[in-house]
Amino acid sequence: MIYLAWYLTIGLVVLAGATLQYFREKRRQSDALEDVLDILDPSRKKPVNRTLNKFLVPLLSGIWIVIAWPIVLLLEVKKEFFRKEESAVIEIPEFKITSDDLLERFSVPQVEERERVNDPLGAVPDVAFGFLHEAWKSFIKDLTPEDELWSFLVREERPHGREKRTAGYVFVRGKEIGRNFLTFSKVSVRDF
Amino acid sequence: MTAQDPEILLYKEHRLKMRYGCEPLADYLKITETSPMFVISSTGLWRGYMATWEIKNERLYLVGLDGEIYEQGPASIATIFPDYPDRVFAHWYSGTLSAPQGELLKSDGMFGFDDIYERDFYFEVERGAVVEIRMRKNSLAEF
Repeated sequence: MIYLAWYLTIGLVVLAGATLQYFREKRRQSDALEDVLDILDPSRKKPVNRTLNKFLVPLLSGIWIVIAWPIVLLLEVKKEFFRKEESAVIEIPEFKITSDDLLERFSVPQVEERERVNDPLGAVPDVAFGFLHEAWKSFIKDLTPEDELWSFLVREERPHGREKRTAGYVFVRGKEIGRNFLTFSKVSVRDF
Repeated sequence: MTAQDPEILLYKEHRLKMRYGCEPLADYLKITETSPMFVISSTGLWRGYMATWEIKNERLYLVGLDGEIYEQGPASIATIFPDYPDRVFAHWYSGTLSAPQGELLKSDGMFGFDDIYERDFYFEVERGAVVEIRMRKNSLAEF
C-alpha cells in the first residue's frame, strides 16, 4: 500500500509540473491560434464542446498523468530529445555580406551596361535588370558620393551537402557594408 | 494543408505539373513588392493564381496566368506585365524546377507532396536561363 501511495504522490508531482508547463506555453501562445481553430472547426464554439475542451479533457488528462506518469515522463524526454535534433538541422545562419565576399568595384553606368537583359523573343524590356529596372533605380537612388558600388558573391553551406550562392551589388562605405541588391540566389541540389 | 494545385511547365511535347514550391512568379512579386490581392478561390490554391511556364530556346518564359484580383476582376499576364501580355522572360528567377512525369508509383495519400512518379525532371535555372536538365527514373524498390 505504501508503494502505491508513493507512486501516486510522484504522479501528483508530475501533474503539477505538467500543469505549470501547460500554463507557461499557453501564455506564450497568441489568442489568434484559438480564433483560427474556431474558424477551421466551428463546432468548437458549441457549449457542449466548450465544456468538453475546458473541463472534461483536462480532468481526464490529469487522471491519466497521475496514473501513467512514467509513460508521460518518457514521452516528454523523447519529445525534448527530438526537438533538439530538429533544431540542429534547421538552424540557418543569417545572411551576411563580408568584405571577403566583395568581387569588383563598378560605377553605376558600368553595372547598367553589363546587366542589360536581352531576349531573342523580345519578352523583356531591353534595359538594365529588365523587369527589375524600377527596383534597381530605387536601390541606387540612395547611393551617395561616399559610397562605392561593388559586386559580391556569398557562398553558404546548407544541410545535406548543399550550397547556397547569393550574388548582387552592394554599397560599401569605408569598411562598412551597406544595402544590397540581389541578382541571383540559389541553393544547389544534391547530386544523385 | 491541402495539396496545392501545381503550376504548369511546357517542355518540348510535355505538359508537366511542377512540384509544390516551384513558383517563379512568387519570387518576382516578392522582389518588386507588387503582389496584387489575388482572390483565394480554393484551399488548393492559396497563392490565388495559376501560372503556365514554357522552356523555349533554353530559357524560362511565363506564358499564361489565370486568377482573379479583388475588386478588379480576372488577372492575366498583362495585369502584372502590361507591355508583355503574351510572353515574359523570367530573368529574375534562379532555382530548381522539378516536375514529375509518367505513372503514379506511390501516393503519399493526403497531400501529394511526396507522390512518387515514374520519372522526375529537374530544370536548373539561373537568371532565367536553363543551364541543366536532368531526368531521374524512379522505382518503388528505392522507397
